[in-house]
Amino acid sequence: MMSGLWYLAVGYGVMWLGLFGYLVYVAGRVRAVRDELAEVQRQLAGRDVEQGRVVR
Amino acid sequence: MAHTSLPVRATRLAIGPLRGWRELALYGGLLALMALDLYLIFVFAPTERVQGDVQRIFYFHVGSAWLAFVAFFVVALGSVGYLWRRTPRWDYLAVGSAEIGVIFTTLTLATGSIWGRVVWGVWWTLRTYLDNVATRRRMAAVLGIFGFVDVPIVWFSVQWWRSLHPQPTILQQGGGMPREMLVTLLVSVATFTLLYAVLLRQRFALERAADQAAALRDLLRAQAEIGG
Repeated sequence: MMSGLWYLAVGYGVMWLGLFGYLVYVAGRVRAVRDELAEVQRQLAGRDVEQGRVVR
Repeated sequence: MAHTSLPVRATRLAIGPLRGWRELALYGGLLALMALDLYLIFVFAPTERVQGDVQRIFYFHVGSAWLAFVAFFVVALGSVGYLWRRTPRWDYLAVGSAEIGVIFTTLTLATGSIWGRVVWGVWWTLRTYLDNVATRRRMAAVLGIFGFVDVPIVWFSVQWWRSLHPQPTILQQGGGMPREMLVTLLVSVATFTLLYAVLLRQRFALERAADQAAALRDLLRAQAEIGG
């Protein structure tokens, strides 16, 4: 009985860790896309300054 | 164990393993065809000018995709046949073809992803197929609505088709479970719901940021084209 409970606890632990890992992975993707967004915005702003356009 | 004798008609109609020279010819022919296919793919077919050798995945990918479609068509055929005739062989056909369909669908997705990684630079993207954002969103919305139709069926299936699945216990009259179990269950459900909310918040942010980045990239590209 105890060994069965142990496996169950390990199973739950693995499942929660997996889900948490997925959450961390998604958060990492969000960060990467936001960095990319900031970079593209920076490039756009630089281009606008070069061409003398006003950035709103 | 004694064998039961099947009716002549049933044995004649049953699809079983082939024996003797026919089996040999079938498997031999299949192996020969596979060898010929490999020769054609890797030796006979020319190398695609732009994509190079990775284009050769195409021959596996299309073959697998074709089989996936055929397999699930046969599943539908077998399912209709079973509901119509109620004879097990239609069920055998549907079940057998379903498993094969899953294998070839997996192969289709895997080969497509490998090709996409080399050619597109990503394992998978919907944008390449549906450049028109409005079309993609409309199709996804329709799919989302149709997909949800399955949810109440799954929910009520526990009551409609009584099987090994336990019957509903929480809303049972007189209480179906001890208070400690109910509290534990509710906390578990709440934890999962919170996890969903946190995940959805992140995925929502990801979609929004990716969409903004794509729009800005397009703008940058357009400006570069105008600027020469």
